[in-house]
Amino acid sequence: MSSPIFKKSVTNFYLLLLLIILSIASIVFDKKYPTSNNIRVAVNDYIFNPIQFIIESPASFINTIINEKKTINDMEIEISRLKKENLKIKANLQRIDVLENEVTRLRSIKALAIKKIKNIKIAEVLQRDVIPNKKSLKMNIGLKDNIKMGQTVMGVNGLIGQVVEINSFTSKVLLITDSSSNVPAIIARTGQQVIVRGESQTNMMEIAFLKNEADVQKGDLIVTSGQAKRFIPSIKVGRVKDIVKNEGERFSKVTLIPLESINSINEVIVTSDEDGMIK
Amino acid sequence: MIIILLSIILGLILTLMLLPLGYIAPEWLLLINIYWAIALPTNNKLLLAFVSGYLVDIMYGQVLGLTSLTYVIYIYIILRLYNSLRYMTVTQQMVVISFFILIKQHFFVWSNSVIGIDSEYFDLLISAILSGILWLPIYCILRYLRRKFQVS
Repeated sequence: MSSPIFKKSVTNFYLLLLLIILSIASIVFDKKYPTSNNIRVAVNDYIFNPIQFIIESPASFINTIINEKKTINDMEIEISRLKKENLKIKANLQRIDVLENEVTRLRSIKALAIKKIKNIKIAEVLQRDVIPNKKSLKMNIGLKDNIKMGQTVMGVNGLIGQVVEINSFTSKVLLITDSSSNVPAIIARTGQQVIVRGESQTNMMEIAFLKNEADVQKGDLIVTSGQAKRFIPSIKVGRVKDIVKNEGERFSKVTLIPLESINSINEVIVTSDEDGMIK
Repeated sequence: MIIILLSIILGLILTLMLLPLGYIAPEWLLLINIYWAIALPTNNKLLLAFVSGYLVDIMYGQVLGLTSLTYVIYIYIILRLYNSLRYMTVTQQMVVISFFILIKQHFFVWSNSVIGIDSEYFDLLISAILSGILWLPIYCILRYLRRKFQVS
């Protein structure tokens, strides 16, 4: 570039205007139709996922080497243990079937019958904290497995979160311990409806707006209520760990422990009930 | 041109690696864009800023177009001021760029609040200072690359 030292401005004001208008149009469009973002899916699939794979490959390589060390002997021991466990569980399951019938009969009086969970998919957790400043995780199933927005994600012991972003091969889950996540739930002992809100800092949850005179005890089980049709009803959310009642305030502070070990779980279950989920 | 694209990909990798940090993470892509805007001030830098802002939006899962809007305005200002920025020492550039990023973060917070999203204000401030400090290595590395491969 041979040019005088002090050139006139090189920038094109009209290009700037065009790009600003494009950006604003894109913001408006994205705000109005948040689900129809094919660009997002395409870029995530073809640019970011390969890059992420390359970044993570050294760590996963080391992990596989460590895992290879497990001898076949260990595996055999584990298989025999699992077989025993399976027998035990099957025996218990027969009792549970009877109990479930009874519970359905009782609940039908309250017009809150349990729907059987159908449509189960098992996914592996790929990564954590995938959304900045939000408790979240990424799992290895996506559009190709017919995942839908807002589907319930749970573990063997209890609720984990809901699906918030879907790409072709992966999807992102917002955990119930995030402070922007609200779960409609009931206290199993009394049947009182509550809202469970996450607490990002402590990895716990709290009951929002529970009045001081409400009946709640340490160790109470909280299960999802299925209101608002977001989460499937009757999934365990957590247990009451701590109750602080302040005289001066209207609401007491109730802390819950999640039943599932949310920060170390490796395999999650993605479910929806018979009706299918909304959206 | 290939070197520029490669440096953008490097920025993408760095951003993806620091994604769990949230908004504290420095703005690698913006710094790389600033360098190329100062070194080779042509019009297509605006387009580059738009595209890289869009990529950042997708990566962070934000509303599409927010970051590209701020990036395009930022790079436009840099393209107007590149003459005076070139005559500064790197330390002065660090201060100026850090200050500009601070202003950009305020614009970001404001445009987020117009849409109705809360943003972590203090994280963004820390990110501005971090980006200012990281201007030095980015400047050195990219200048070395530009001279070695004769990018023009």
